Amino acid sequence: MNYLKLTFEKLEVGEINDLVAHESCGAISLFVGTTRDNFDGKTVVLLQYEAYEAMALKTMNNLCDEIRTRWPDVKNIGIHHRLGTVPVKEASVVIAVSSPHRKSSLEAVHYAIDELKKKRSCLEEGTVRRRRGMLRMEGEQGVHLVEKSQR
Amino acid sequence: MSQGHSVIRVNLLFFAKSRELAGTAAYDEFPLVTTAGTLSGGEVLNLICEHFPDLAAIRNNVIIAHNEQYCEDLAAQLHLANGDEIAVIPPIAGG
Repeated sequence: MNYLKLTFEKLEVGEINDLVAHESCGAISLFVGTTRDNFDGKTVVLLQYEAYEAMALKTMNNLCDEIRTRWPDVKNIGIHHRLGTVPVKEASVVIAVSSPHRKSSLEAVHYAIDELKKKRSCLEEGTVRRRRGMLRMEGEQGVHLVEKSQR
Repeated sequence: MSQGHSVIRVNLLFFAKSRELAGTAAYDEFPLVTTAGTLSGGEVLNLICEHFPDLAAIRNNVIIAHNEQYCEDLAAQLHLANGDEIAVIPPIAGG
């Protein structure tokens, strides 16, 4: 089963673990992507995510198909992505994979996050702090600074 | 059968920066003047930028999706039908 979700709510790692757990599996591997407090020498205050939901889910479904082709013994896959504001230290994405033995789930989770980053499933935008006011910064590619004055 | 100009009405979606510049998240029944229902991705983008001139600032950095398929090659011809969905997406990606 694939458990795919886009939500504005805080992600619960334990819940996603329990979704993919299966009696035939001896391993669950998890990746949790969190908001880091720095980017390119600047202090990041929060990240915001939005998604073209239909495409994001399609991308995630295709990713699950790829995973199952490469690791046929993978049992359940969970990919939950948070939308909206994700403060520093909180999770923006959780990926969980269960398999009978640990090798497949460990490799599949690694593959999953690498592919997810490449495939543009969600749009990420960061708000950084500068000495005067806040600067808004677009994602990781093509950084485009927009001065947002605070008076 | 003559190949005339046909107007196809598509539904536009704008994300992130493109939404700010276009001033709207969605625009229904946007008319595209096509040649027998066909236009390249680049031509579609040009028509959208004509109507939403502020998008010109990011025109060369956006990607469009036609019915949930990314149009990686803007020169490729798109076969358009009424009610199709065109999304304008700045090329920034997180996880």
